[in-house]
Amino acid sequence: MASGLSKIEIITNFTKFAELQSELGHLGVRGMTVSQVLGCGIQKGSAEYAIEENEEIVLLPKQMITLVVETEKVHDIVEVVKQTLYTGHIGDGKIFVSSLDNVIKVRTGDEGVDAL
Amino acid sequence: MEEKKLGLGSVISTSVGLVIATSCLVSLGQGAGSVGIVFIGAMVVACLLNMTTIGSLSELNALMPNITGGLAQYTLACMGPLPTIISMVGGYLICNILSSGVEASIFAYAMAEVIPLPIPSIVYTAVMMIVVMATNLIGVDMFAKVQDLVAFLLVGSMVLMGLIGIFKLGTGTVVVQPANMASSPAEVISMTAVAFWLFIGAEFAIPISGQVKNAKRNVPLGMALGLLVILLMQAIMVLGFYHYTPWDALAESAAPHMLYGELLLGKAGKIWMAFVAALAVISTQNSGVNGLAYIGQGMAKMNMLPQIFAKTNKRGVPYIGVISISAAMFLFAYISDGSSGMIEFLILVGSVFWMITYIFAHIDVLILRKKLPHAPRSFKVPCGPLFPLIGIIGTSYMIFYISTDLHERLMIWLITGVTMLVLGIYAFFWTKYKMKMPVLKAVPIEKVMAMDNEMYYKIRKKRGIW
Repeated sequence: MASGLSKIEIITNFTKFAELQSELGHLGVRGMTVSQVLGCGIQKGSAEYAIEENEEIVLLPKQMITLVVETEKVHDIVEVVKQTLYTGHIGDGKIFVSSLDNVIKVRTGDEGVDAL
Repeated sequence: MEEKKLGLGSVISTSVGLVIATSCLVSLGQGAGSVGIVFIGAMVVACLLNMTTIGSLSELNALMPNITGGLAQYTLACMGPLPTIISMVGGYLICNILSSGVEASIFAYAMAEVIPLPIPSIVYTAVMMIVVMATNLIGVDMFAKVQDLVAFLLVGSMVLMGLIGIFKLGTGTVVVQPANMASSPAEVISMTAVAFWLFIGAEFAIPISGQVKNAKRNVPLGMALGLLVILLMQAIMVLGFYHYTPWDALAESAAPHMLYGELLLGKAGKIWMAFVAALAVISTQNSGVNGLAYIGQGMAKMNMLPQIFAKTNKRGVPYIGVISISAAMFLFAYISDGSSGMIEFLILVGSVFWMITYIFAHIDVLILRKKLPHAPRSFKVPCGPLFPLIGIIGTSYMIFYISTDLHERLMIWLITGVTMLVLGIYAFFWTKYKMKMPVLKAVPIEKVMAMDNEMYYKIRKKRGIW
């Protein structure tokens, strides 16, 4: 079922959140969910300046920002998120984009784009 | 999180800061004196060529933002330690210390001429250098406040003096002479080599980019606006020269800006021009001390200079760099006091290295586009490789025509070659035994970024790796 909606999940560190929130607001993103999470990437949580990679996985505090948006806006939003989060350092984050079957707004019963 | 203190205005004033030196005022007068107001055409070409460099450096800064000092790290990540050390030590540290030293001694002469006190001229230099050093030790915000004020007074004064000339409002005699002294378009094009000096150095805004608000927008925009401000201001000055200064007298004068001031407004104009020249020197010294100290700090963090240059005071200023660079500039000001000819020659040699760093910057852009084609760049030079290639060709042309005198040109290339060899030997051993890295292998960008963190060395020292 094609709803014309996509989900964007952004996992990043805390330092850029305020700027990201502001940029998303300017793009007309109408809602977001922010969760504090623990996680690591391919470096298993090693610090950028570490001599060698951690043997055991170390989970680092991160935040995950979940957005549901119209599919045609995904490209623009992802570009802005990439530009905003980029520092060139390990830990800038990852962006996951997936298509969504449907969204239902409980209060009104609206579905799809109308539910955003 | 560290608070960003500087705005667009400070980026513009820092860009303008190093560019407008007394030597530029001399080049401007002599260039205009040679071909007339069509020198503005050569200035436009030179400005556009420098814009390509600013564009490339802005793209590199977008890829590696907030890195201490910048500049050195870009080449390190693209070509490895040896070319980086040669170009940065030769082009930035030595060249700018020499040229700022000579500028400072010119300042002393200007002051001694204007202030009739029985004080040795070097005292003026010493006082100015101490004030600039103290300002920079207080912090980047104090540096910027002084720079904003000096740049505003400098640009304002030059525009005003130019406008007085354009509208024939001066007290001197208006000169009637042909506007164009060039016999062919080729003569104007050849003057771009002279005009190039009027715009070199705007990239000194990059070392402060870590302290700039909205740096992604303000750093490239500020540097470009800085160059445009310089172009506009100097074009106004050339038009002012046209009405008050005979072209041949301008071309032959050792201090054409002072000549213009005198012919425009008499003794008052000469004093005003001396004041402008003094501001130009203060501006150059201030930008130079600040920029070089941060470049030195960045190089020390990459272990390309002794670690002592990375030490900061409680205001985050690399104070060893500020003090040692100020002292070195003063030393050269003292040495060049009366024997500036040889040092000016050495500046030309250093400038070749400086231009080589510009060429490296363009090459870095092309390499990183290949290595990191998808990395988000908040600023990207448009039209693919076109502008970096124009920059490489144009800057090579400037190196080729570094001097109009063939003998001097050959000597410059010879000394450049010898210096490059000496620096190359030093860089080879430093890289091999101190940095313990392959001399010509590019350092991965993530490692360059990691080396910027002071913990990189702390944990290695703790483990006995350093």
